[in-house]
Amino acid sequence: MAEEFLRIEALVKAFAGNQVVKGVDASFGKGEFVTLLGPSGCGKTTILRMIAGFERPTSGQILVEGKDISPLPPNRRKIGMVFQAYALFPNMNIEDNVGFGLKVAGVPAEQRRARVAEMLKLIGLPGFGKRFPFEMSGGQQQRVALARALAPKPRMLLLDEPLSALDAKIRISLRDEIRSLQRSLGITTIFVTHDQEEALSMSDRIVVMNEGRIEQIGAPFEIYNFPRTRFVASFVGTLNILRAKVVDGASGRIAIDDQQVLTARSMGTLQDGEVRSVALRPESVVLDGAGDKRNSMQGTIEEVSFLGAVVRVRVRFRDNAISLDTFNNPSSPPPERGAPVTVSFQPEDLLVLEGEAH
Amino acid sequence: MKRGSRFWSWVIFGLTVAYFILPLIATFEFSLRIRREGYTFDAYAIVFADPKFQQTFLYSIVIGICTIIVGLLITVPAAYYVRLKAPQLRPIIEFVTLLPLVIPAIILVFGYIRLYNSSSILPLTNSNLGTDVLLTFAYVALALPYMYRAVDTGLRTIDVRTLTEAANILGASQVTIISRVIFPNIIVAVLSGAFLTLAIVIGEFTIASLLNRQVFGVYMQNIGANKAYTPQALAVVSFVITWGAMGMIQLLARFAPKTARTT
Repeated sequence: MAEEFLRIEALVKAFAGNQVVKGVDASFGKGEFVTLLGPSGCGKTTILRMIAGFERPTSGQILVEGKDISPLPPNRRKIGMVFQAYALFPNMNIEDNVGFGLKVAGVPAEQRRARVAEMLKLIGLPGFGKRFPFEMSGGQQQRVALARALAPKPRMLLLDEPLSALDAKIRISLRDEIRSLQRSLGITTIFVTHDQEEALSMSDRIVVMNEGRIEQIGAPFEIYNFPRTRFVASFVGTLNILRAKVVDGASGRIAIDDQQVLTARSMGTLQDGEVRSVALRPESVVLDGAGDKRNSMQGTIEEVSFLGAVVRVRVRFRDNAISLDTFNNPSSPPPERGAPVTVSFQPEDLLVLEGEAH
Repeated sequence: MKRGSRFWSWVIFGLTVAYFILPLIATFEFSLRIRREGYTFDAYAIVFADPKFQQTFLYSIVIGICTIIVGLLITVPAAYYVRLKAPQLRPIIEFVTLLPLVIPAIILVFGYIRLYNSSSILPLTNSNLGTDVLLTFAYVALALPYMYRAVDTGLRTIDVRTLTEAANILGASQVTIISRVIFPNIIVAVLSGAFLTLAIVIGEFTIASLLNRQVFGVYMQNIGANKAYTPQALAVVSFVITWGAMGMIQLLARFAPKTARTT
């Protein structure tokens, strides 16, 4: 992580006695793009709103460059924010919208005009200054909202699900635009989303949240490939969660439905016979023991779903079942339901999750 | 069957229109019969030439404008605050704003006289200015149901919370947010309330009469008690003013800031 810019310490927020943020600690580097990812009600937006100053923390601190900003009202925090609902001022044209923060700050008209023109050019909408928000598409409006947030040169940018109201195609193009803009400006950015694809594709680091707590913080690669908890494993990407019994913790040997396989890491702290959840990504598993995978298991084909380029196959062992994806090959039709098969995977791909199995 | 129902719809519509329009036509027609030899606008000429008409009408307009300004200064921040910070207070506020509709003006004005007479702590009725202030505040209370509702309806058409937060994080204070972001976006609703208030003030008689203020309503009553044709002309003028105010509301609705597309 780069030099620390923002730190939240033991942050708690309760509404009418109901805690929605339960003692969150995290730090964010200067110029970093960090995503708060989690399902609805996990507290991610509340944290963002506390950073913005719209909500007052019940307890805990929010420190920007070492100084507690909790007592400051939102208009004195020098933070830019983009909202899900765009929130452009309907009575103002695009120029006035983008220049609003500068006008409020008392920037002279000449400088303001220059900065507005610069921002409109930056978001690829020069010449749109005289239009009104209702004359623009959702994607264009959100770009204007971004320009408006950045125009006063804030020290930090907060993005509250800015892509959620847009259709899929615009969403993908805009997320690339936001990311490249953030990189070029080097502004510390906190992005809130429940969309794992957005989080994985845009972030330097992801903070996965659940029920008011942080489940895991890490780079997208780390979060996807090495989820620490069952929640992270199931929330980020598609994952097979299996119940396994520890056979020999020291050597990393476990049994899934009495078929022994190896994990890459020693589980010395676990008792033999203890039951744990293990996770396996569908793309890590191959059919019929192809290649040199060191773990293999026997099962039967339970379901075959033809998805076009990909064929999703579900293999049942006994109590556990896994899904795996194979590429569609016209010369080799997908296997029949009920056929016995062998599946293989590397010990490194088998993740033992924290906490006891459910 | 369809033709039959359409026929009866037109009959009902025609009867309703006649119910409203016929008295007006009759009043207008009567106002033109001041001379025996035929229809003339002389009654209107007499009314407009009367210095008391000009005086009372101007006074009512000034009091009406003061009422609108004071009313807006009270209702806009109140409705904004309730919508943003205290939605649980809405039923109570709505009840309070409806009270002037159920309390007769006569009760209201006797209450005011009792509270602000020359022997009270705040003897507003002691001076002309004080009585004008009292009259203005009485009209503010009278117009409150219309003004508050118009403003509240305007606020309902915009996303008050998000617009407030967006302006706030850009550095705007509460005063700037209300004056530059919220108010311009509800201006049409505010003007609707303003014109309704003006229409009420122009025709009001009870409160002004008991506070001994020479407003347009009192002048109309005086003329009506002593003359035959000019009161009808005044009634028509008063209708034109009221309808003009209503027409302005419709006209202004076209200039409302449009809400943005969402995709």
